[in-house]
Amino acid sequence: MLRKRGAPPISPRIAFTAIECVRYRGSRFGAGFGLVNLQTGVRRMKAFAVSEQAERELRRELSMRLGELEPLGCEVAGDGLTPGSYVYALRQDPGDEAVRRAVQEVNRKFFRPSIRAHVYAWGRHVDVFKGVGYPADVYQLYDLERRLRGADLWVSHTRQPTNSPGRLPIWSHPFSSGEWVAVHNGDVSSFGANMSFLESVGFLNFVGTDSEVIAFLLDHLTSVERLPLEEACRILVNPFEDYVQDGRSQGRSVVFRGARLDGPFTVVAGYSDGKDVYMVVLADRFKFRPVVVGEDENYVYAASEEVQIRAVSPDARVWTLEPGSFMLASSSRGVIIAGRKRLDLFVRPQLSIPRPEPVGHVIDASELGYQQINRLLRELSQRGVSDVSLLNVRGQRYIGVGVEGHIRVRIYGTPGNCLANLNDSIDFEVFGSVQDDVGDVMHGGSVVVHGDARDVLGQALQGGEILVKGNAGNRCGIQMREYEGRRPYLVVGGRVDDYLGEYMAGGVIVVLGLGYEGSDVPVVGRFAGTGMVGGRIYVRGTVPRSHIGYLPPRRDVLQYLRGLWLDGELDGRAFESLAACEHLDPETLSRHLPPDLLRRVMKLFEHKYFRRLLVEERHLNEAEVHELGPVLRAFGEKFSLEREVKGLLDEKFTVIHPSTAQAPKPVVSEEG
Amino acid sequence: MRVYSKRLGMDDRTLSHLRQMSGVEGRMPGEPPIVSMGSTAPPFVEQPRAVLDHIVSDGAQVTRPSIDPYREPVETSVHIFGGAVRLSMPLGVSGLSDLLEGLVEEVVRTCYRMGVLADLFGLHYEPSSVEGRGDYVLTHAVRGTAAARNVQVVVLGDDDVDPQLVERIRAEGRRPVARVPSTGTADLYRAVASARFDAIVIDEDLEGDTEVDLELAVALCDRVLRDPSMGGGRLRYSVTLIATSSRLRGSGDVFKLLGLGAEVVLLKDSWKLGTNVSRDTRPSVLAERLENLLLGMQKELKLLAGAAGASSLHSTVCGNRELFRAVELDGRVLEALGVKAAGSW
Repeated sequence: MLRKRGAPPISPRIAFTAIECVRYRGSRFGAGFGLVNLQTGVRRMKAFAVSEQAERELRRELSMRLGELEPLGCEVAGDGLTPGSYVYALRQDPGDEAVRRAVQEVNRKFFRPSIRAHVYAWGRHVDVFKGVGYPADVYQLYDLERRLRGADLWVSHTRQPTNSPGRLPIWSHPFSSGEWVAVHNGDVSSFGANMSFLESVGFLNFVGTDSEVIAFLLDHLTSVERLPLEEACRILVNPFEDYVQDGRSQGRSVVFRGARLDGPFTVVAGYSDGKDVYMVVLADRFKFRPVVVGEDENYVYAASEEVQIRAVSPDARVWTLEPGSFMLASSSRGVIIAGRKRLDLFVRPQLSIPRPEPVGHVIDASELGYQQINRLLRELSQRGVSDVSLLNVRGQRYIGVGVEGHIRVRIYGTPGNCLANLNDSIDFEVFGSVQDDVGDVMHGGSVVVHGDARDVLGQALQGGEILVKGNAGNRCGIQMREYEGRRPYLVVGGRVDDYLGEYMAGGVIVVLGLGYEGSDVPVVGRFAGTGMVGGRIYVRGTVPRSHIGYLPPRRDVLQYLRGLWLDGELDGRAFESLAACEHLDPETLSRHLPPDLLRRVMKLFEHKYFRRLLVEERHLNEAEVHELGPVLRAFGEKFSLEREVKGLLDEKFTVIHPSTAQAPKPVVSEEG
Repeated sequence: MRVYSKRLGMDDRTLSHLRQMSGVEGRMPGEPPIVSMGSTAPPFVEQPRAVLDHIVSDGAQVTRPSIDPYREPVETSVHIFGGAVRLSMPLGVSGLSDLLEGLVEEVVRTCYRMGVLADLFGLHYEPSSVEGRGDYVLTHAVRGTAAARNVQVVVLGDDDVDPQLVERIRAEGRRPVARVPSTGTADLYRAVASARFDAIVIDEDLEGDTEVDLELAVALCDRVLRDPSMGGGRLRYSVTLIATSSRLRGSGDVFKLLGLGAEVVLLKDSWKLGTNVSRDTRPSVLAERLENLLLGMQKELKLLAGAAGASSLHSTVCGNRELFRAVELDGRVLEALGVKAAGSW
C-alpha cells in the first residue's frame, strides 16, 4: 500500500488489517512487514544473530569493512531457538556499493556450516520486521503498533513455504536489498538462472528463496545497471518474445536474460530513489498467481485478494494486471503504469454496482466463517426458505459448497475464492465483485455478478448460467463441457484476459465487450480457444486472429518464408506481402501461398493434437439468435442493461469453434 | 569416476526414436514418439553411457505447474552472437564433410528455413547456398571464397589467441567465432572471451579421443564466462556458447547441455543416422526429413522445459543447473558440473 503525496501516513494497523483478513492463505511458518519512507535519517542495518557471541562477531566483521557501527539495541531478543534481531546505525555512510559488498561478504561468512548471523536490511529508506509465526504473531513480536507511527509504503506478507524452510526468520518475507523491499507469491522456475546471473555480477550469498533473488535483481538493475524502473520491471516480468516490439527492449531482454523471471509469481515491491517512493507489482506471463491492484484518492493498493483492499478502502477502484505486465506507482505521481490497457473502460462497471435492500432471511456474515455460513444456508434450505441475503461478506471461501435445494442467495460484499463450486441448484446474486475459481464444476443453478470476476471463472462448468456484468480474468471457461440436455452458458459483459475457453469441450461462452465499442483494445486476451475440442465462443466484434489459439512464433514462420524466398520457391512479392501481415495465421497463409508451399509452412503449426479452429466474423444465424436470445435477455434484465442488450443480436460476432465440432444444434435450453 | 567411451552411445531404440521423428520410420513425422509411462532411463535401469546420463531433470510440482507446450507457449528461440542472430531453436547440424555437395547445399538451405545453424567445419569448399544465409552458417577460413560469409570460425588450440585476428575478422564485416577442443583450460576460455570472440564452439571431436567430456567442458566454460572479475560478469551474456560432439543422441542430451550453459548444440552423427542420409538420398527428401527431425526435437525440448515449469529455453534453461539433480556421481564431478546431488535442495 502506497501513500499518495498529501495523504496521511499509513499506520502499521492498516498494514496488519490488510494481511490478517487473509490469514487462511498463510501458515505459522513466517510472516513479515516492510516499509519505505522518503524522509530518513542515518543509514541503519538490521541483522539476525543466533547468540550474543555471534552478534559481537558480526558487528566486528561489519565494522572492519564499514567503519564504526553504533548499536541501537535489540528489537526482538533471541531465545536459543530463534535468533534475535539487532539494529545498528552507520554514522559515516560509506555509500551503497561498499555497503552492498560488505553485507554480501559478511553474510557469506556467517552462513556456513550453519547460519549464525544474517544482515537482512541495510537501506536508508527501508525497514523490515519479520519472524516465524502468523502476521498477528510478528506484529505483536515487534510491537509495531507502538513502535511506529506510519510510513509512505507498507508491504505485509504471510507465508506458506514450499521450497525453503520456515523455521528461521531469515526465510520470512519481506526481503530487502538496498532501497528495495519485496514480497512474493509463487515458485520461480528461473531461480537457478537468476542466481547464476547474480553471482556473475558479484552477489555472493543466498538464503535460497525466490523473493530474495527478486529483491537482488531489482536492486542490481536499478542501482548498478541504472536502468529506469519501468525497464527493470519489463525485464523481470519477461513478456513473450512476440509481444516485445521495441528493439531496445528486445536487446536488453537478451543481455539481461539472467534477470528474467519464469514460472508462477506475483511480486509486490517498494522502493525509494531518495526523491520519491515507488510501488511496483509484477505478474507472470501466464498469470499463475492472483493479484489485484486498486486506487482511491489517498492510496494505491496491491493484494492477492480484492477483499484485502476492500477491508481498508471499501470503495477503491480495483483492477487486475494483464498477464506478463506490471503496475508502477509513486507517491508524487500516483499510478504511472496501470498494468492494463484502457483502465478507464475496465473499471467502469464497478462504479455502478447496485446495493438493493436485502430480501428474505437476512444474515450478517461479518463474524462468520464459511462453515457457519454454509451450515446456515443448509438449514434454511431444508426449512423451505427461498431467499437469503448474506450481508457483510468478507472473503469467506467456498460459499454454497455442499448446500442443496432451490434457494436464492444474495451476497453483499466480497465473497472469497471458490464461490458456488459444484453448485447444482442455488441461484447466487453478488452485489460486488467475486474472486478466483467461481463456479468450478458447477452443474446447475446460476451465478450473477454485478461487478467483476477474477481468474479461472467457470472451470469445467457443465450446467447452469454464469452472468458477469463487468470483466473476467484469466482462464475463464476452461474445460467447459456439456451433456445431453445440459448446456452451460457463461456471459461476460466487459472483457476477459488470456486463455478464454482453453480445452473447452462444450457449452457456450459469450463476451460482449460493453463499453469497449470503438476502442482499439481487443475484448479477449491471447490464446482464446486453445486446445478447444467442442462448444462455441461468441465475441462481439472483431478479435485479432493472433489472439485465437496458439500459433508458432511469428518470427519462426517468417524465417521459413524468407528461406522459401531465398530458395526461389516463393516469389519476392508474395514474401513481401506476407512479411507485411500483422498475423501469420493459417487463414492468412492459405490466402497467399500455393498448396504445396502452404503444406510445408503448416508443418510449423500442426502437431498430433492440433485442431484447426474455425473463426468466423459474422451475424448470428437464426438458430443462434433463438438460442442466445433468452440468455442475453436475462443478462439485460439482471443488470438493467435491457437497452444495451437489445440490439446486440443483430451485430456481428466473432465465432470460434473447433473444425470438427458439429454445427450448433437447435435450442435445448430448459426454458424451451 | 567411470570413464565413458567417446563413441556414439546410441542404441537401436534411440536410433528408431530419431527415425520416427524424421519420418524414415513410422507414420507420424515431426512428432516425439510416446513409448510408455514410466521410464527405463539411465542410470536407474539402463546402463549409463555418459556423464550426462547421471543428470536428471527436476520436474515441476504443484506450486510450479508443468506447462503443456501443445497449447501454451514454451519459447525455444535463442538470440546468439550478443543478440544479433535469432535461432528458432537451440540447435544446429555439423559433420557435413562426408556428404555430397548437393546435399550439403540443401542442408544449408534447410537450416536457414528452420532458423538453426549449419556448421561447415571440415568442408574444403564453400557451398553456393551460403550466399544470403551467412548468419546461419559457421564457415571456416577458406582462402579465395570470401563471398558472403558473415560468421567466421577460427580453430584455436591451447592458448594461441590473437586479438588482432579477431579485429581483422570484424573489420572484414564478419563475426569471429572460436572453435576449441573440450580439453580447453579455463585460461583458454578466458583468453577467447577476453579477445571478444562472439561465440565459442566447444568441439569434443577436435582432438580425437579426449580426456575431457563435453559436459564438463561446457560447465567449466560457463563458469569462466560468469567470473565477476572478467568484464563485470557480463561476458556470459554476450559470448555465445556452442557445444558439439559426435556422441550426442537427442533432445535429452541437448536439454542437459543447455542447463549446463550451452546455448546451441550442434548435432553430428545423430542427425545423419536419424535422417538415414546416404549418397543416394535426394536433396528434397533429406530436407523433408531434417525439417521433421528438427520439429520433433523442438517439441521434445518444449516438453522437457514444460515439465520443469520453464517457458523459455534461453532465459530459464540455459545455465540453470538448479533444474537438475545428479545421481551416482562423485563429489569431484558434481563440483565440476555445478549440479547438486539428488535429494539436496
